[in-house]
Amino acid sequence: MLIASATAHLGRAILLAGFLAAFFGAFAAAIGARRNDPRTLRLVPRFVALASFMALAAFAVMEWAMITRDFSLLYVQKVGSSATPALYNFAAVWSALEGSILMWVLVLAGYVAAAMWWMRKRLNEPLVGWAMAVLLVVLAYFFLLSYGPANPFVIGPPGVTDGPGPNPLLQNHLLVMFHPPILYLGYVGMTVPFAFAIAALIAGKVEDGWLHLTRRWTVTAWGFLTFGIALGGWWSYEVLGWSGVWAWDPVENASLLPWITGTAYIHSVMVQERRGLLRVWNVSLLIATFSLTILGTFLTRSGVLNSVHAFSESDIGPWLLAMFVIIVAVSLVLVYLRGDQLRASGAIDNVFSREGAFLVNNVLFAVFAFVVLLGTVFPLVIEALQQRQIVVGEPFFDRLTIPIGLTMLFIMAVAPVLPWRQDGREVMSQRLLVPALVGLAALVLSLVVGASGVAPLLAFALGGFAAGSALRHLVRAVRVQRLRGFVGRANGGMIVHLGVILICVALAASNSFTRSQEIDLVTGQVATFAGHTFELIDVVEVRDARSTTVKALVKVDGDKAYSPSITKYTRIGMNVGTPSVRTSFTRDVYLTLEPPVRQDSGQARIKVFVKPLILWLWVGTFVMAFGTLLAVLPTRRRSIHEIRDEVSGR
Amino acid sequence: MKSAKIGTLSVAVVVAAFIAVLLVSDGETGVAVRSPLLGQPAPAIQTTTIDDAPFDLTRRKGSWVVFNFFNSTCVPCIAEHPSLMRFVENEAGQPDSVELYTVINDDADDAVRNFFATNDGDWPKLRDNDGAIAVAFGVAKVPETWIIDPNGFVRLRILGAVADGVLEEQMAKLRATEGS
Amino acid sequence: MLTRRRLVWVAIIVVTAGLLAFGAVRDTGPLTQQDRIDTITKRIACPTCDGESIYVSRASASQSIRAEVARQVGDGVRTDDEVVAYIADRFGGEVLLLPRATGVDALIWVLPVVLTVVLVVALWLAFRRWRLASATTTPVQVASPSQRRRSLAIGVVLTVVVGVAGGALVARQAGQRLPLETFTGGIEDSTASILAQARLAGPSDVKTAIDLYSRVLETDPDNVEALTYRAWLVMLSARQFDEALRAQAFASTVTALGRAIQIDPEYPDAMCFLGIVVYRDGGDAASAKEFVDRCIERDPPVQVRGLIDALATELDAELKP
Repeated sequence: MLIASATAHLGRAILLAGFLAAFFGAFAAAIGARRNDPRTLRLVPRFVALASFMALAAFAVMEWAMITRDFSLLYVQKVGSSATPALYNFAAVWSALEGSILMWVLVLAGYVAAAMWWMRKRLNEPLVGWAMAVLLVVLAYFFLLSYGPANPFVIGPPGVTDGPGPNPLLQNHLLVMFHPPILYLGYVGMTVPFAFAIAALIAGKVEDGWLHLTRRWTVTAWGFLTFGIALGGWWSYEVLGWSGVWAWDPVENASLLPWITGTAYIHSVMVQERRGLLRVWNVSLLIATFSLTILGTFLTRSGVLNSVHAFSESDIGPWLLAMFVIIVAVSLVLVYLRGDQLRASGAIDNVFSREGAFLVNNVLFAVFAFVVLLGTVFPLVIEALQQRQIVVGEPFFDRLTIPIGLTMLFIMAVAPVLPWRQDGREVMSQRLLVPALVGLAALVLSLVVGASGVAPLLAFALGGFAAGSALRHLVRAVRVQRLRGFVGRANGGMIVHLGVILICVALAASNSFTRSQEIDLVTGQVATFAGHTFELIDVVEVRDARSTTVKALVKVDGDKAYSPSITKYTRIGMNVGTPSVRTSFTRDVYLTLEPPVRQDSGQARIKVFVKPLILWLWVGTFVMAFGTLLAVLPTRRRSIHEIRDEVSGR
Repeated sequence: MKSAKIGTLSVAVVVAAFIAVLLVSDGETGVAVRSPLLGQPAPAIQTTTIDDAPFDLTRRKGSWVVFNFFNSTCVPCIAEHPSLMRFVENEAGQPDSVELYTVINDDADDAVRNFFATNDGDWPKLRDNDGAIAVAFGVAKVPETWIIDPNGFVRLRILGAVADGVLEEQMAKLRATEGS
Repeated sequence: MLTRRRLVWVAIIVVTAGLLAFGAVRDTGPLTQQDRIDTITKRIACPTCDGESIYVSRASASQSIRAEVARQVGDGVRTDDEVVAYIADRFGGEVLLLPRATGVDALIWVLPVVLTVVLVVALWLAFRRWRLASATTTPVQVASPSQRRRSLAIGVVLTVVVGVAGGALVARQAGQRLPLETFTGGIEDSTASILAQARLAGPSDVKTAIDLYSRVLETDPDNVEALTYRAWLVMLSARQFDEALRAQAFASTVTALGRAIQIDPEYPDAMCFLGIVVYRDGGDAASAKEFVDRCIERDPPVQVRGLIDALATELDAELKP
């Protein structure tokens, strides 16, 4: 018992040490930056190292407790189990609230350490000093959360020898190892650009290199966030059994909101780079992105809304809300007072220029973010004001975001060919001709394969249009620079655009043209649907320590057998259906087993979904990831001709 | 310039309003006992008991009927079982005693049989194939208890486990208002 | 100027528009029942989840509601809106996944449109200001402060009005509109409500009750509850009249009850009332005993049971010697 409780005390001591390190580090950085005192500033890297080490140690202690099934801790009693396989047990640490906050601390500490390392030679610059101060304040607050309301090292009631394990939905697919950590790398990564934005406001300037630095960080974090969100969609598809990738669930929306403002920033900052304009707006976007991560965490963890992910109502709600309020209040005051100092002279004179397109793009993204945010919090507001409950779900979001998405595809096509500072109408009509023909060809192709409906057809046509425009840029870049034509911000960005187009087209196809049917199968008989045949081979039952699974073996098109199943987790008493999917380039055939299931009856009821183009969602994701990687790779110095070309948008 | 100040102020106002709303709102308002069915004729229910005897709710007009939606693995259902037993005992002495029925919600016959074998309770248990009865009453979570009067009207809905004495108290109130 | 390039562009736009129009009205084949079920289930929220439709959710409550939707679509009686209304009538308005087109809920449609209009107008103003500022030809006449304030006020009001109007249009087009009546539907529902009214009227206002039961029998002549209770009430009220009327009532009551028993041999009330009537108004104890025994076998409801128990003891006493 003494040994067991030692883990709890050790863990808490480590968290306290981490909090103190971050707290004093923040002080040192702030005082050092304010007074321009190199000696004080020299302390900061040491505090950062200490805090990061403590974060790592705390996480390691938690994992150790989980791996050794130390049931003296309340958290292990909640999500640990002797029957959970090793890998899922490792991931069980972040399957509930306290563990996820601990992981947040770990990832944030990692980012703070990385930022410190990156800027180690420039600590004496006020921008860097203030940025480190902000980072350490945020880290300290999260340490405090982990030490206080979300403490994973609380000692549980004695005498417990086993636990139920994590939620069954988090135990049946390896994605649980990747999706939360990668999502956090994106989510938490937005803290660094935020810190630099606040630093810019406090210091009253954006010097050389600030842009370069924040852009790289933001794009990297954005890349992880994009990938993390896509993994979430893949998880939804593979695990949840309704054959969809996105349900506009509040937790999904919480991760989408910072992505939207982050994407807006990545584009809008190009105007700042080229013309020095929109500084206040860009700083506000960075602040908004980080604020939305905190708001999103508050909405999903406080129990104010409930969903599949929101594990429990806990005391952490008020703390997160307080954090959101403090961040927004401080930021608003800073922008109000110091915004003017950042402002550069100059104007955007023409709506048909590249800057004009980016401005329109900003408006579009602002409306997109507003729609998602409004839809997520509207039920809350109505409930508070009128004491009745309403739900806002997929139909609402679809109806408003589809027009926005289509407009974005259009701008994606037009903007890259527009020149800077000039009226681009004449140039547009010349350069967009071939892309327009590509779009028309895409429209014809989709009509030939049988598509219908204005929205999906527009999506295909505009997708072709935008793809043509992106390819045009890439072809010209490769012609001039050969392989290096794929590298660098603009070219990588075009590849990312191609990925986005693939995803949009795939979404349009699968959302509009999915066909489904419930079929009662009997062994030996063959059923047909949507041009495919289905034959039930057998219904088998598999038992193991934690569950009983009933599988239906179904041959699709006389090929190999697919096995949709239903698993009953005996300890928790929960039934989880697992789909089985046959993927091809043109469509997925998605099978689920429908209850009730009678294993010895030679019968099974399955639901078949035929979903076009799903594979291209994942291909598009990888294209986006690849493009992001290419975009952050450094380019060599460009020749004067190349720069002139780029300015004129050729 | 001015636009930044306007923007900042408008954002501040919106966020402040949102926080105010959150502080007023207490999140989940908890169990709501409203139902559009109260005071309406009960839905027509036809099913079989767990012993394969037929059951038709319209045929029970003339008795007070209590439906208890139940699942053998649901913890509050198990917790409220003794209260239901006591309720049945108390009712036995009444001239117009209540007919209690368990409506099985998403559970296997055998599991229910085992539960009642271990825990007693010899009132009829009704099968609910496909959850049709649950849908007809708008029941999403168990346990729920519904009281229907002898004229076939829905009179009361209780969400969650019934505490000791609650049903007796409610029945007394309903009988009083029932009049002659 | 009609250059060749412009012609090509015009051609592209015309062809695209034409193809889109063609594709928009294209017939994709019949809508299967599963398609209809999917459309409806995407409009209904799962009552135990948050924001998920019953199409998405795998919870047991969702499955039950999906099964009910499938049943109703299979019956083919109700329209999509009516099926959604049926579910909403039982689970409450909070299962409607698409916010309403009217009332406070419509704000969710209006606000994004207002924001879009405001931002577009702001953008337009900004571009205009920048263009004017960069114009170096004629000096722009500066408006007086009061003029500027007035034009600003007019601009704001106009923007908001356009935004709200646009939002209302979007709400009307996109929002949920359901049939107003609750419990809409077929014969079965209105029969149930008439029977309920008759039941309520029963003890105190026999005449109304008999009329209501008669109405039910007009549309549904085989309704055992109406047959039984009408006959019973007729007999009860006939007891206060003279011999001839009583005899007539007795005959019709026995016929009606006999018919009810024929239609549904397990219906206890008919059997019980027959036993009572045969003894009290017909004087036949032996037959009455038979009916009463069969009645008790069928587990009559409590109110009927109360009448029967007294009779049973009486019959036993009568038949003993």
